[in-house]
Amino acid sequence: MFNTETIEMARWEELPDYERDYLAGMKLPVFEETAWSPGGPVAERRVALISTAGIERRGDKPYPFFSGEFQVIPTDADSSELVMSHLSPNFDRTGFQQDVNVVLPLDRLRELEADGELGSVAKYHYAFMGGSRPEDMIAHVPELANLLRADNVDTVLMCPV
Amino acid sequence: MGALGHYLEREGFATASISLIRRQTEAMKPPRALWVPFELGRPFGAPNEGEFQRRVVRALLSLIEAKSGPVLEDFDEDPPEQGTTPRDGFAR
Repeated sequence: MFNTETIEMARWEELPDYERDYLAGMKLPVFEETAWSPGGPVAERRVALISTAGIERRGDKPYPFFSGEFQVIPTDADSSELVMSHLSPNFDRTGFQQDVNVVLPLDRLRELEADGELGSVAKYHYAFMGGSRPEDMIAHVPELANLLRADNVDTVLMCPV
Repeated sequence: MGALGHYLEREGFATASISLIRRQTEAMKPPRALWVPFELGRPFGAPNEGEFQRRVVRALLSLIEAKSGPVLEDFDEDPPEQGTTPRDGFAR
């Protein structure tokens, strides 16, 4: 589907040794061309969030291991309902424990919508399990795209951890 | 995450991504990305800092108005200092 290559990372000097070792070994997809769908005024866009933090609601069926599947997060989910199931020693989790918005800024989107800066917030948002292979996640893109279209979403903010 | 952006864009959605490792984003060339100088695991900067998080979200959303791409911009504001420690007020 695509080639991979090992690349050098930025801010190298600020990362701990184990993080540098991990990142240095990552193989990333390479895209020769960048796909482009036109955007437009933010005040006219309908926006959904996609996270790779393995976020899900308490009680959801857990992410199947190595499946690349995604979970659906209703926009009105209370922050106390949400958990981060992505386990890794390579990133901070304490911020999420204090405030979901540092990873998935649902409250911030709602505020911008209320202020008229943003057209509207999608009814649903989505989360993949971090560390999934890109080719596994991409297999679920057609289903994800259908859900986004059904929600009249035209804009997606991608939220890695 | 960068790969997802490429594929969703092909499906007709305008996407904008937070970038935590700038060189990684440069290599993957997603359509629109905002590099942030934040700790890994904190893509919107700092917990319980609503106004700061709002500035990050606004900057990310603004990329949707770009006329052409790929776009990679920098958010050059460091996150605010965080609260107090459990020792504050004790053990002096």
